[in-house]
Amino acid sequence: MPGLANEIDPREFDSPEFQRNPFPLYKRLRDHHPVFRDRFHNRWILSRYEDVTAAFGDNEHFDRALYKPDGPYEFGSSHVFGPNILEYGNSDRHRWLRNVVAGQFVGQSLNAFVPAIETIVAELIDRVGRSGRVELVSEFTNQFPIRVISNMLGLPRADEDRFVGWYQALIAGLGFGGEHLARGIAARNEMWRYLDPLLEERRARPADDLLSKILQAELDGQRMSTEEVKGFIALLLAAGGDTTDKAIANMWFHMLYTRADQFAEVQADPALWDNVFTEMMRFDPVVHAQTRFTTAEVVVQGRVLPERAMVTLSLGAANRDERVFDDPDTFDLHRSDLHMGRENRSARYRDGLAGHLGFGMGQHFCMGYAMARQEAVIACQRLAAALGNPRPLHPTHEGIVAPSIDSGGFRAPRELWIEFDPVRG
Amino acid sequence: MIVRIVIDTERCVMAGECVYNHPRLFAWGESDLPRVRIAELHADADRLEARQAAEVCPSGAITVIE
Repeated sequence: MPGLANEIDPREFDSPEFQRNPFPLYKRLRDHHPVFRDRFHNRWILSRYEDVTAAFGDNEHFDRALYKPDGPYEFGSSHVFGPNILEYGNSDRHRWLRNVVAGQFVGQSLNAFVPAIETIVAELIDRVGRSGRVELVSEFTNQFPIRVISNMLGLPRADEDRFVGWYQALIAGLGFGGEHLARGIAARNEMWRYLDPLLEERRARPADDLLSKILQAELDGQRMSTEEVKGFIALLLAAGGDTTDKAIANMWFHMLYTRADQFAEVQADPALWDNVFTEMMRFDPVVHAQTRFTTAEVVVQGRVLPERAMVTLSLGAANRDERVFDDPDTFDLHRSDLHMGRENRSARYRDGLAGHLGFGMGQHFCMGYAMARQEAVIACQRLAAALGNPRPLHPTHEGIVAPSIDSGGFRAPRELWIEFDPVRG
Repeated sequence: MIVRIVIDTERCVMAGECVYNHPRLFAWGESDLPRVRIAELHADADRLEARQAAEVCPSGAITVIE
């Protein structure tokens, strides 16, 4: 029937095609349904850059958590992590919890941590060995950021391998549900039992680490509960680990398969890995969507969203908005319409260019934005220098995939085999 | 002791870290630049927050003068 070609069946969002390549549907959303009412999943979807940034910036109408009409937030109880900072919405408690740790991930504190990052990268590159091939995801990206964050927390280095195991079970539980969820919860419980005596010890004898800082932080004379501390740690392991893990894999995927022609330039000028990071975060970021709840009726593009509506902010779609980025479906390290430098919470830049929305923006802008870039760029630069003439082992690749993109699934290649000339002694 | 916050608007990159993280101390002012809301900080909590704001400012534009 004419006129129906652009209609969207909400079940398309659950299809394997959408998980593999969401971009054609994103374009239909932007062009024909910028405010899409998805009755099947009982939500609304915003997909244009203009609308997504406006919603991110409007705390008054769009909250991260669902508030109760009579006051406090309704917490999701099914969460693998238990109670955590993300669910405190726009509250003072959220700001306070974030400010306890935010300083660790930027500026001087981050600079001071770079030597530790370098050490961990070097150790992992050593493990990759001299066989001439590496499966980057399991042998490197899965291993690296989690070791960095556990180091930063001050967890014993001797137990790092155990943390990597718990972490892998945890994130599988987040992404895939079912038996993975059961394993994820089992891993979480095991990790929490392990942490109990460690928390006691750090409470009694604070050290110069993030764990001690979290344990000592007070708001109005109150410290975080043990449950909150554990939820915070699990969140940091996943948010500080999983995302950067997948970002690094995505960067390599694009250099090996999407733009092999631009990889030669990056090899000649490793500073360009910063651009690889930025353009990856626009083109196909690890996180494609964020959820918000309306706190009142709000009008977007002339349509009325009711109070307490669930709204999916599709930053993956906004990042491809042709109203903002020329030729948005091309991955290009030299984009003149994208702010290439470090990201901002406000998404406003002195160069007047638009920024990618891969870290979100506003109140819930990624706390680890500076650290993620720092870690990813260092890891890629060191790897590229250590592996002689790195090239894809397979001529074709299934591409970047994710479970349930628009409910928070992280996008990354499942495997990434690289062949290289073993150059080191 | 008088404690004040100074913003170097030349260095500021309008990241918004101060305004979002510490809304009691900072607000958006003219030309999309942040401004200080409290001239002199007397409460310990405010002073702590001011130091946190200086710590996370990505351009190093915030100084706490004591």
